Amino acid sequence: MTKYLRRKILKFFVYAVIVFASYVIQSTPGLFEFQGISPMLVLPACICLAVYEGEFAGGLFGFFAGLFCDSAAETVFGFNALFYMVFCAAAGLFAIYYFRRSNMNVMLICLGALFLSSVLEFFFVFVLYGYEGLSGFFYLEVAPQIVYSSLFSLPYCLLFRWLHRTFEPEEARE
Amino acid sequence: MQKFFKSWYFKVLCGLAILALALMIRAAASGSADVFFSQAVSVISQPFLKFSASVTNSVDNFLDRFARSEEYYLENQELREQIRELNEKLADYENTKRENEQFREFLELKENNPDYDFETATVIGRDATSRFASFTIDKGSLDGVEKADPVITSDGLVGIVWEVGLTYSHVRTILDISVEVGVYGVSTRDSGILSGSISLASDGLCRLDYLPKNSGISSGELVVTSGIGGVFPKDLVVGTVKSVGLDTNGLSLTAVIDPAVDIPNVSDVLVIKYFKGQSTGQPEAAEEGGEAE
Repeated sequence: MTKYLRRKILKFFVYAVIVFASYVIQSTPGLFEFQGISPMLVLPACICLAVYEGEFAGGLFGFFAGLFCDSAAETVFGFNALFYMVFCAAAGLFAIYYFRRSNMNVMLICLGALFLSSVLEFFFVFVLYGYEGLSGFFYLEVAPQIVYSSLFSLPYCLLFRWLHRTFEPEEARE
Repeated sequence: MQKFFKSWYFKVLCGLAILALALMIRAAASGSADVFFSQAVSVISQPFLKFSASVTNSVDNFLDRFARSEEYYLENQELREQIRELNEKLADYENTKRENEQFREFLELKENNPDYDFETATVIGRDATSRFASFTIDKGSLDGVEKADPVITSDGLVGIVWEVGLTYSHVRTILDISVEVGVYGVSTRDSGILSGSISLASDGLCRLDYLPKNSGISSGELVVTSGIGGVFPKDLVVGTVKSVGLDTNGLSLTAVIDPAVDIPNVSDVLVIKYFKGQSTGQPEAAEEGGEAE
């Protein structure tokens, strides 16, 4: 096993630990809760990972992280796995082909992914069933959660950028 | 971008997307999550979630102490006040309960002796140097208590009022050598004079003298007042015979009596202010320590 491969395995192990820790923190009641709103941490973590590690690694992490989220979600099992994978793969591609990997761009990608994910979930879990008072629910519950969660994308961005630079050899960096 | 769509990365991701779709369809059709995947996720994540929750709770509780210290302080003060009020109520309840029990006993006594005029009284003091368990009660002449009034409980005779103040009275008990009571044995009908004894008083016992030498009185016999002389009502329970023997001169029998009332520990008593057959001129009778009996 080459040194490069060992470093790569170690790097993805660390990524897996971070994503799993994010899931644990996200699922723990009361942790980082603000005004009754809990942040979504797994998706920003996977998006940031995808931005620095590419569409394939991001897609894989998005899929498995989504499975974890599905175990406690109100959506049908597999919903988050599918969309997290798609969002992360898309974020990886956008980062390669369309955006610079600046903090602001990564945060905007995270915000967009959080918005799409939340809106889709909102649509499939609530709107389709025609509940009443959904607009108030969206503005008071869903939208603040999207904004609050997007704030965590900056520390994730900085963390994954640092890890990416730490583990990648000089010549492999862009 | 075209390169990606032609790569095996894209095919793997498409495969995962199909797997996710299949899981969704299966979950939607069955109404529950895929057992294998959800169980696997739970097995992996549950220990960490539990640990995280316990740590979070500990930290929350720790911070909560400081963040809500003012609130806790006020709540603590309020609860202390409530405890104090409840303790007062409890004390009142216990007193009321005890009084209720006493009154029940007194009522029974009153029903059995309709001619008695009672005054309930509480023992408010005991002389620490008294050898005969004398005590002070909280009723005096203002309550109609007079010298030589008998003092009893529902169990039997206690003693006699010896000295009367406006709001208090001193009572000498049947353990006192200066108090003499005419009594008789319920079975044998043999009578004698009951009085205290220095040697027996410390054990809460008293002595019955002048029993006929041929008396059949024996251990365990109940002794009651004779009522002769009018100082004590007739047939008040005094106690039971503990032992019998000849007196020092050998002319009569003497018995040791175990009083029916636990005199050294009595706390509530009844003073009989009037009873049928009560003699007039009670102070004189009392001066003589019930010798009129």
